[in-house]
Amino acid sequence: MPIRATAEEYRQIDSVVSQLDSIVIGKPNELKLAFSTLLAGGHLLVEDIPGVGKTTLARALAATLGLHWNRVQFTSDLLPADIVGISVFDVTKQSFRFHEGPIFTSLLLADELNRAPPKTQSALLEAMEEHQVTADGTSYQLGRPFFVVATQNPQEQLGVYPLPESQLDRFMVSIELGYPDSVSEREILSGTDRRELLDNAQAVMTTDNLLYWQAMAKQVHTAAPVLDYVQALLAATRQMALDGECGAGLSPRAGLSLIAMCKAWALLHGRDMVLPEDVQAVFTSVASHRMAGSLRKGLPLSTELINTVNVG
Amino acid sequence: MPTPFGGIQTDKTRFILMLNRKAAQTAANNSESIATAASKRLTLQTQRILGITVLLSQLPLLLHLPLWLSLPGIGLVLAKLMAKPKDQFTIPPALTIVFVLLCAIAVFFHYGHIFGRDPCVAFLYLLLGFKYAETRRAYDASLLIILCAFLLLTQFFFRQSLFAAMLSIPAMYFVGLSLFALQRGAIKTDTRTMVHVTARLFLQAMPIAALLFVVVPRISQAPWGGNGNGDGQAQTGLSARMSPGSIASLSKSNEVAFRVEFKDQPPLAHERYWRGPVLTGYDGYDWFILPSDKRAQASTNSNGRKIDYTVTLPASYQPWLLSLDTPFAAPTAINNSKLLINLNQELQIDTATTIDQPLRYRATSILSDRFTPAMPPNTATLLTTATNPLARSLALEFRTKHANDAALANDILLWFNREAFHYTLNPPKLGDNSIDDFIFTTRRGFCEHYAGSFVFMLRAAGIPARVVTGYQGGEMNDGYMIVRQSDAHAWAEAYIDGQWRRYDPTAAVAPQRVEQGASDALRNDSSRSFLSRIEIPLLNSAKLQWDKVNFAWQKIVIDFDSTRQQAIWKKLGIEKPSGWMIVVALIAASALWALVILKPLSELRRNPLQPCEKHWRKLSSKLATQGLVREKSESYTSFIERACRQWPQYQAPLRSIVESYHNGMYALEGGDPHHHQQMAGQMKSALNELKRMR
Repeated sequence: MPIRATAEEYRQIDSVVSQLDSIVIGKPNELKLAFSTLLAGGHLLVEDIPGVGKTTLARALAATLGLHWNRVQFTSDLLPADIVGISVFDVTKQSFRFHEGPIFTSLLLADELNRAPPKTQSALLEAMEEHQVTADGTSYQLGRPFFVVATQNPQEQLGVYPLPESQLDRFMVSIELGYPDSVSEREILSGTDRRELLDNAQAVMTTDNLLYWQAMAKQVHTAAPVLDYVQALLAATRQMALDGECGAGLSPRAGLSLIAMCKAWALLHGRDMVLPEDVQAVFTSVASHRMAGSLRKGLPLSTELINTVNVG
Repeated sequence: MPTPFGGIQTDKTRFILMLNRKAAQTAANNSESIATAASKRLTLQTQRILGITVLLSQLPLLLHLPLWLSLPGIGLVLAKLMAKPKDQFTIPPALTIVFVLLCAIAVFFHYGHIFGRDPCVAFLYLLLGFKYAETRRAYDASLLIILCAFLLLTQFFFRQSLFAAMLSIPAMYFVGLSLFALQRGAIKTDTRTMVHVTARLFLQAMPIAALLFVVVPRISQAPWGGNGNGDGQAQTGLSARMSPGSIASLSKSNEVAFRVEFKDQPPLAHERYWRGPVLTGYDGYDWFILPSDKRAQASTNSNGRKIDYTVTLPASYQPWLLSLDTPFAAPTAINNSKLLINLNQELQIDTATTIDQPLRYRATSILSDRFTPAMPPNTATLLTTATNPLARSLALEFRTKHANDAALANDILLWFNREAFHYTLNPPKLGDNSIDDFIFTTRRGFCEHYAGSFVFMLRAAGIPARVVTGYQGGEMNDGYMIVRQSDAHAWAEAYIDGQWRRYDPTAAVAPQRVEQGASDALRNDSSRSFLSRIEIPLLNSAKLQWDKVNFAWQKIVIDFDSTRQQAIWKKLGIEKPSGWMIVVALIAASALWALVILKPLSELRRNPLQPCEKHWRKLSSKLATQGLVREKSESYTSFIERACRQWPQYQAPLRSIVESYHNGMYALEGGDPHHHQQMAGQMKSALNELKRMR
């Protein structure tokens, strides 16, 4: 027998969403996608130019959910040890002591991931996948939840190491924040300083709550018609790849990510079942970066699929 | 800072662990239930359904079997049906054999033989009870179901009435239901679906059943040989002998003796004399038929109205037919062309064999109380015995008074009328000189007493006379007449002035018997039961309605025989269908039926359209007629939102439809048929609100 969250409990999710909305202005959909990714236990890739609020988004999430967070600015000379940590010799104890790097946190903001060399990138990606890091032959477990928000500059800019497609697959969702619309921009310009808002923001949830909701998200029911629809979409991406319109079709792992996202999205909307509209809402953000290597290139393709594949 | 979950926080974490454990448990349970279904033991529910099937098949036979036999048969089934699943009782196999042997012996002793309709049915009936008691596995169950179907058939050996047919319908349904339950197997169809599907199959089979009824060649003889009265069972009706009290006892039965349709105006109440056996023989106590094989010559008498009518006679197991008043010629059988019918000199209609099947015949009569025979009566009509000296001397007294035969007969009638005779169903017992006892001592009697004494006295006075038995009366019911056993009557015929004249001495005593029928004449007779003395008009008319339905059943279903079957073929232009032709016709008709019924079913199996989906399609087509069509790639919610914008006044039902649809199709509970039905119901009621949407 599935266990149901009560309406009272659902209200907690609503309060998270509304607090996020009050900090990051004019991006409700992106915020929900980001929060859903967290609920689905995935990682988020934000693809955008600097200054549109990527950091604010990550910090707003951390502050609202009461998560400990770290930020790593990726640069071309960043080494794996800078993220994972380093063993230092303790003279008093006459032994090596592991000095934990910034990755030992609940929410890691990996800024400008594509500026770091591949070796460093893969150290992070391993941690994302395995939930553990290895230093000097010893494995160290990361805590739960562990959520990476990586930002990526559009690849036209100079001095970047684009993430290979296999690595991109590790990110459940990619979003683009983009410029705010004029009304929101006016509010940002005229309103209180975001930094101040963030500092004053109070946690709406505890870590335990978040784990509970992650478990609940797994319980959301996906009926046969939804799975039919998801399969039809997956098949369509593969057909598209065959036709040479995109780089790759979606893998079964991507399909699992899509389902997990749908469930989290449904939960976010207070439902215990996935509806076709949930699939439609999350599909582009799950599929785009996987299909074409970047959100920008993939978005028109995935949008086309949503508009052509039959719902049930 | 207070946590949003307050004190339950730790519970929630524990619960996360629980979730996983639960999932594992559910998986284990599922595999277990599949395992039990695969082994062929019957589930409790299947056993119960089987039990009800057996009970329902046994039920109709309760009317035909002796109680000592029918009660244990039902008891065996009930005992198992009522028992708790844990302490299900079983008879050890060895004991079962002993019981069955005992039953066979008991049946033999009851009926005196074992090969015949009644003992065989009785034995099968008992065996079915035993079989159910020992049924454990699917194999036994399927055998049991076949036996049930056969047992159900056996009741028609006894009676083919509409009531019997109706009694078999629930049992037939349960036969289907138990077959379904048996085949349910590992895939657990819920009971509700099972009941519905069985009902649907039942309805779909109707046309095939009707077709088989019309097309399959009739068997005109009952399978057990069809001579005689089944196994010598007593049948109500007139008999070849009449003794004082025999008609009175018949009069207490309300059973339908026969039904008549008249071509023109029906006869008046006092003209409704239905002539049956003519009793010329007398042995001092009983009156009986004397064999006569002389055919009647065409009747020379033609005074009086000629009347055409059709009689529907249930199986009487007697070799004679009934006719109105003075039959004109031998009637012609409608549904049995082989039956030889003969009108003898006494104007009694004889048949070559006994009537063991319902018979319809057309006859013509003349409404007249006298007729001229071709030959003068023989001496048998004057025969009396040496008994009853008092009656004889009374008759001679009358003889000395009157030289004229007619005047003498009338005087005797007058005498009956004058003296204190009493018309009753419950006459006292009579001694050896029964007629003396009756006319001088008891003076209480029914029609056979009056007819018998009257004929005896006429004969003693030297006038040829005889007793005629039959029915007097009949009740019109919407175009046809019902004559019941309670209308049974006996009257006298005397040969006077070269004519046989009808005298009804009962009418002299109780004139209302002839005018209003026996029940009116006997209204205050104490021997009639209290209930039959009360007359409730509503009940009466209901009874007549029921008789009408029964009569229609008789005419349409029971009387559908090879003759009428052939008539149908003739209408199709086929003179006499060969076996091949029937087979071809059957195959063609079945193919047509399959096209109409089976195709949608097979489609249903390929892509079962769930109720919610059905209602959604209804809504879609409704909106489509209004010009709103869902894009193929559009989600249901956004489609409904578009509709809501177009018809803001219908927002509530529209949103409720999509919500119920989602709940039925996408929610976990939607997999539960009951919940799904509930959602479908909500969709339906919301759809009703949209009826007037423009």
